[in-house]
Amino acid sequence: MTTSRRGFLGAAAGALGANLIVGCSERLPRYLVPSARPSDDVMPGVTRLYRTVCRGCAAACGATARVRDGRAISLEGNPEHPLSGGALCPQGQASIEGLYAPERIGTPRAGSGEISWEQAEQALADGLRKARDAGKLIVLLSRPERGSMGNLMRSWLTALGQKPSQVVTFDPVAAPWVGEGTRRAFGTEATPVNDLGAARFVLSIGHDFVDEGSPVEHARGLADLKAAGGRFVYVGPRLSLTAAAADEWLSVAPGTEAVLVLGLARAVLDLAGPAVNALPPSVLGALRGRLAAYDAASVAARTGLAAEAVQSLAEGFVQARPSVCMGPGRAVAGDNAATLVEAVGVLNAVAGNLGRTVRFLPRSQEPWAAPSMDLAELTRRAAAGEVGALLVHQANPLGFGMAFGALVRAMERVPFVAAFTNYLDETARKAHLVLADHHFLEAWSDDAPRAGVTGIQQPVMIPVLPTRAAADQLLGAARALGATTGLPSGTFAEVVRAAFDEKSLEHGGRFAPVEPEPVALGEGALAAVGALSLDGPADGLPLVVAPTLRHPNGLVPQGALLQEIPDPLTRISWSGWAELHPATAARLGVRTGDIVALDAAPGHAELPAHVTPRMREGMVAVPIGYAAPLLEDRGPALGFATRVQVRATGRKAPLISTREDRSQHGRPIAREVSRSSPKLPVLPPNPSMVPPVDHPVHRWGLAIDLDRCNGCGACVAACYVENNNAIVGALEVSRGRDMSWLHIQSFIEVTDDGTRASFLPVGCQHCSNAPCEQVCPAYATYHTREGLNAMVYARCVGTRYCENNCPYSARAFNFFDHPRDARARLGLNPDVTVRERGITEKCTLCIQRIRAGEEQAKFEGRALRDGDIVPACVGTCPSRAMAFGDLKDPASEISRWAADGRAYHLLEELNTQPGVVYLARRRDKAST
Amino acid sequence: MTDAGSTTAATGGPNPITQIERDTLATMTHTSWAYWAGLLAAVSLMGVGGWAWSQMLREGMGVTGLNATVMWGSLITTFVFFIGVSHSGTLVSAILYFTRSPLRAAVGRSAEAMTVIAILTAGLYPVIHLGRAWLAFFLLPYPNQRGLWPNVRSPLEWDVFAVCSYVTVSSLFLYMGMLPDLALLSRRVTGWRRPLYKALSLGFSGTDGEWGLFEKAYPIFAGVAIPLAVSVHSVVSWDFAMTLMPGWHSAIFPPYFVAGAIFSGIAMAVLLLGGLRRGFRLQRYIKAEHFDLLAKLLLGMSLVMTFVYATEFFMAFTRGSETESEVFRWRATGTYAPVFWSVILCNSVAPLVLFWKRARRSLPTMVVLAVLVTVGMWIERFMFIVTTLAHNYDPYAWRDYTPTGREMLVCLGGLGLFLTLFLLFIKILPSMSVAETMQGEHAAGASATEDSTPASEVSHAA
Repeated sequence: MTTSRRGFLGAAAGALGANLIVGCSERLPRYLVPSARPSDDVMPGVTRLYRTVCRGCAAACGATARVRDGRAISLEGNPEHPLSGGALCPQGQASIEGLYAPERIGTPRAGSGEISWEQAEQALADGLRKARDAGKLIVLLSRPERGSMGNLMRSWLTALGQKPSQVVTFDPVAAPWVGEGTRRAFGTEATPVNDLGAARFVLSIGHDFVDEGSPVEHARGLADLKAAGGRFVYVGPRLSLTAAAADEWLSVAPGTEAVLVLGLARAVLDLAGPAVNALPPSVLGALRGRLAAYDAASVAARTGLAAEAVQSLAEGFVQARPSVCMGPGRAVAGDNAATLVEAVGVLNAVAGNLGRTVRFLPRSQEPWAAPSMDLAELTRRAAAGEVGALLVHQANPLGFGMAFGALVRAMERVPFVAAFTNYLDETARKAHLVLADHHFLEAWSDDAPRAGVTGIQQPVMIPVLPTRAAADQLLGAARALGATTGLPSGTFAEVVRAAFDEKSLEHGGRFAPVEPEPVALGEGALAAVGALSLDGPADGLPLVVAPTLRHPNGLVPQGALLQEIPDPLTRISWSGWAELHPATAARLGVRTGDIVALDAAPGHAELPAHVTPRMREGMVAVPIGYAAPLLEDRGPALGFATRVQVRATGRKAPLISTREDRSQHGRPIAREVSRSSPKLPVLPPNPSMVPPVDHPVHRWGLAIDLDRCNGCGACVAACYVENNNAIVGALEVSRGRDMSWLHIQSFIEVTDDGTRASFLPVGCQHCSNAPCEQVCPAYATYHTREGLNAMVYARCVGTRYCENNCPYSARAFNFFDHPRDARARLGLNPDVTVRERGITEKCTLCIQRIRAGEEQAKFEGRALRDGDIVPACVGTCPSRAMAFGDLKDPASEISRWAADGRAYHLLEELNTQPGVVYLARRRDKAST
Repeated sequence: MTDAGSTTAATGGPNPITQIERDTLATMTHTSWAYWAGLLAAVSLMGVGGWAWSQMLREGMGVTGLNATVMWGSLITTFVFFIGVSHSGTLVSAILYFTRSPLRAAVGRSAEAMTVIAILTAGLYPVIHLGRAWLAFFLLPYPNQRGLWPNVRSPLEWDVFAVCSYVTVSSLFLYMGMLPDLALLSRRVTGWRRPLYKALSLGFSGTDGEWGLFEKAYPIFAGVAIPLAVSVHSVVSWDFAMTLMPGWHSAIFPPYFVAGAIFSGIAMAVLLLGGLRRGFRLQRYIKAEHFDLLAKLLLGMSLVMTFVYATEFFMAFTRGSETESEVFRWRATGTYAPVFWSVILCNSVAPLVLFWKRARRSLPTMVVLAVLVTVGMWIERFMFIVTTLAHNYDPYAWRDYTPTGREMLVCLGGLGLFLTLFLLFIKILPSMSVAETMQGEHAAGASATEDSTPASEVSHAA
C-alpha cells in the first residue's frame, strides 16, 4: 500500500481531531496506567500524601493517603485529626483494598447485564420521573451521611417535590439507646462524649470501646489512661478485647448491669462527695428515694457480685477523680439499654464527672441532622405501594439475611429500585438499576462524626474504574427532570470544594473545639426505671453480640484482608463462631469446632462453637458480622435478638483451629510486672567466646509497650498493605500458612484471680545473634550493619531451616504462588518486592521506609533525626504502643523505652539479643 | 579369575570353582519372573513418587502438609532414614574386613552397594524438599556470578560436604572391591557387556603383583570408610543438634544418629540378604550363621537405642529447661504419642526376642523384625523431627503436622528408586564377591568341609 503525502496529512489531521474530541470529553480511563508524561503533582518514585477521611466505618477518622505514581497504596491516620490522632484501625487500613478489589464493579448494570452510563442515566431519570408523575414517594436509603452529602440528599428530595425527611439512614451498628437514655436522664438532645485520657478511673459497662464507636480515639485514650497509672474496670459477660485491656474484668448476671450501676450510684450518693452536695436538694431527694432499693446487699444478690466488691468499686470510682463510666455497649445492650444509659448518666453526674470526662456536644443544626423516616416506616409504606422509587446509597440492608424479610417483600412492590454501590451485594442484586459508585478515595465528600470535627474526604487519585459519583448522578437526574430549584448547578465536587478553604483541605478538615452544652441532672432522672432484666423466651441463652474491628458496618466485609487476619482472641479467621463457656458447652454437648445452630425470632444462624473460659456461663456470644441474621427492625431502630436457642447440629466445621489450650505455659513471652514494683529482674549477661556484633552507625529497633497494646491488629493490617503480603485464603490459613509478618499472639490464662488475656505483636525480632542467620546455607538471610536481619529473596532456595531455628516462629514461607489479578496489582507498594513461591520471608522493619528516610535526610543534607522513619505498624498503632528508632542513639525515644524497668526481650535466656524490645504489662498482681 | 581359581582347584570335589562361580553370579545369570515382577513394582513405585514430586515442583511445597511451625517433615525424615540405611553397609563391610569375618564374603558386596544406592537416594531428598529445588546448585561451592560462597556456618552446608564425601568414598570402596570380579566377568560374558566389564576392570588380570597391590590398597579404603561413616551421620545429626530447638539441641545426637544408622542399616541388610538368599537360592553362601550374627548385632544396637531414648528423657527432665521437658512430655503423651510408642515397640521391645537363639535363626522372624525396625527407624526420625518443631518455644505457634498423600508418595518413591537401583545392580554387577567366596570356601573346605552343606541350617520356612 502506498500513501500520498496529501493522504497522510489528511489522515493525521483526522486523527488529531479525533484525539482532541476524545481529550475534551470527561476523562474516565478504563484502566489506570502510569502515564509517560505524568501530570504536575505526580513525580515518579515519590510518595505523595493527601489528607482525606476514612470511610471504612461510621467513625470517619481523618486519614492520610500515600499515593505513588498516581495510585493510592496505603492509608494512614491524619495526625491533625482529633479522632484519628495519626492512627488508623485495622478496618481503616483494609479499606484501601476496596479500591482494587476484583469484586468491585466499574460499570452500571440493569437486570443481569452491563449497560452504558448514558443508558444508566436515562434509566435513573425515567424511574424517578415515573415515580414523581405517579405521585408516589421517592425515598433515599443511605449510610449515615453527616455533611454535604446528607444536605444534598435532602435538598434533592425537596427539588423533586418530595419531603426532605425521606432519607432513611441505615446504620446497623448505631447505638440508638444513647439518645433516648440521655434524654431521660438529662432532658437534652446533646451527645455525650467521653474523654478517657483525662480520666483516672474508667468503668465500662459492657462497652467495647476499642472495638466499636470511635475505636482509634478510645484506644489512644485508654492507653494514655493506663500509662498515667489510671485504673480500668470492665463489667460485661465476655472477656472482649476491651475487657482484656482492663485491670479487672467482672461479669454480672445477664441483664443486671443496670442494677449494678444504680447500686454504684447509690453508694456514691452515700459517700456524699462534693458533686453530690452540689446537687439541688430536690434532685438529690428524688434520687435518694429512687435509689433506696439499690443497697449493696441487694445489688450483690441480684448481680451475683460480692457486696464488698460493689462497695470497693464505688469507692474507687469516687476517689479517683475524675472518673468516667462508659456504656452500655453492644455486649449488654438488651432491651434495657436506654435505662442503662440513664443509670450511667446518673452515676457520672453524682461522681462529678460531668464537664470533665463526660461532655455533651450539641446536636448539629445542619439539615442532615434533622429527623427523618425510619426503616420501619419505609417498609410499611413500600408494602402499601406508596413508594415509587427507592434509591439505596452505600447501604446493604439485605445483607442481613432474612432479618429484613419484610423489607424484601416491600421492595418487591417498589417499581424502581436503584443502588449506588461498589459491589454487587445482596441489595444491589435486588435493584433494577445498579450505579457503580466511586470508592471514597476517588470522590469528594465530607463527614462530621461529631460537633467540631468535620473531615474533608478528598479524592486522592483518578478513579480506577469508569465509576461515577453518586451525588452527581442524583444531580444529573434532577436536571433531566427539570427539578433544579435549590440544587447546585455544578458538580458535587465543586460544592464540597467551595465549602472549605485551601487551608482546611491541607489539614484534612475543620477542627474547632466546641463549647460543650451545660447539662445537669434533672428531677425526672430515673423517674421510671424500665425493665431491668432480659426479656424473651426464658429457655434461650442471652445473646452477646460482640463488636469487632473486622466487621465494618456490622457485616462481614467484602475484602479479604480483614477476614484473613485472625481474630486475636480466638485465632479464627475466615469464619464466624459462637463463644460458649466450657460449662455451657458441656451442657449442650458441644466442643470447639462443632457447629451449633442459633435460633431467634429474627432468624437463624449456624456457627462453629468456640469453647472458652473468656465467656460467662449460660450465655452465647457471636461476632457482629455473623450475628447479622439475628438483627431485626424494631420500630424506630434496629436491634439484635436478646435471647437465642442454641443447639448442637452434630456437624463439625472443617477449617477452625480447635486447640483449646491458649496458655503460654509460664514462658517469658507476654510478661507482666506488678503495679507496685514495675521492674523486671535483670538477667546476668551471657558470657561469650565471640565478640559482640558490631553496629557501626545505627542499630534499628522496635519497642512495644504491652501496657498500651490492646491487640486490635491494626499493625498487622498495615503490614499486609505496606509489604504486599499475600492473602492465602481460608484453607491455607487453616493449615497454618498465612503470610503475615506480624502476629498478634494472644494467651489466655485461667488463674485463681480469674481469666486473663494478654497480647503481644510478634514479628521478626531482628536478633544480633540470630539463629536463622547461622543456619541459612545460601546467605539468604544475614545481618546488616544497621542491625537488621535482612532477607535476600533472590538467594533463598527454600530450605526453611531458618524458620525451624527461629524460636519466635517469625517467618513465613511461600507454600504456593498467590497471584493477584491485574486490578489488585495496581495497589501493590512499588517499593516492596512481590515474593514468589518457594522462598521464606519475614518482617524487614519496613526497610524501604528506612532507606527512604535515610535518603531524605541525605538529600536535605542533615543527619537522620529520631522520628524520621516510621514503619507501617508503628505509624498506624491507635494505642501508640510501638516505637521505632536507633537503639544506639541514647536520646531516641526507643532508647528511653528500652531503658525502662519493664523492658525485656522475648525468650531472653536464649541469648538471641533481639532488636525488638517489649515493655511488660502492668497488672495488680503479676503472673509472669 | 583363572589365577584365583587355580589356587582353589586343589581342594578337589565336583568342579567346585564352576559351582561357586555359578552360584555367586546367579543373580546375574538367572532372571526369574519374580525378579521382573519386583523390578516392575519398584519402577512403578518410583514413577508414582516422581509424579508426586512433579506436583510439588509445579504447584509448590503446599502440596505437603507442612506449615509455618513444622517446616520439616516426612521428606527430611526420609533423607535421614536413607542416610541411616546407607550407613551400615560400608561400615559393616569395612569392619568385617578388618575382623576377617567369614560373613563378609556373603554380605559385604551387597551391603556396600546398598550404601551407595541409599546415599544417592538420600541425597535427593534435601533437594526435593527445597522450596526452589531448581536452585539447589546454590548450595555448591563454586565461583559464581553471584560472587557468593555458601555459608560454611550452616550445618546444612556441612551436609553437602559430608554426603558428597561419603558418596565418593563408598563408591570407590565398592568399586575397588569389585575389580577382581569385574575382571573375571569380562572373561565370562559375551556381547555388549564384555567391553563394559573390561573397561571397568581397569585391566586387572589377577597377577600376584596386582593382588599384592590390591591387598595393600583395599585396607586403606576400608580404613577411611570407617571414620567417615561415623562422621557423616554425626554431621547429619548436627542439622538438628546445632539448632536451638528443644529436643534437638543435645550433645547425644551424633552417637545417637550413628547408632540409629547402624541399627537401621543392619535391618536393611537382613532384608536384602534374605531376599537374595531366597530369590537366588544362595543358601550355601548366605548361611543361617550369618543371620545369627546379624541378629546379635541388631539386638545389640536395639539395646543401645533403648539406652539413648532413656538418656534423652533423663536429660530432658534433669537439664532444668521447662521447654525441653515439655517437648518430651508431649512426645510421649501428646498428639504424636501413638507414633512415639510405636517407635518404642518396633525399636526397643520387638528386637528383644532375639535373645532366643531360635528367633535369631528363623528367617521369617528375622525378616519381620527387620521390617519392624526399618519402619520403626523411619517413624523414629519423623517423631523427633516433628514433635520438636510442633511444640517448640512459643506456645502460640504450636501446631500439628500430618503428611499428605502426595508427600508420602514422594517418600515411597525413594523406596522405589532404592529398590530399582538395587535390582539393577544385582543384575549388572556381581552382588557377592566371587573372589572372596572362593577364598572363604577354600578356608572352610580345609577345616570342615561338611559344614558348608545346607544340611546344617535350621528352619527356613518356605
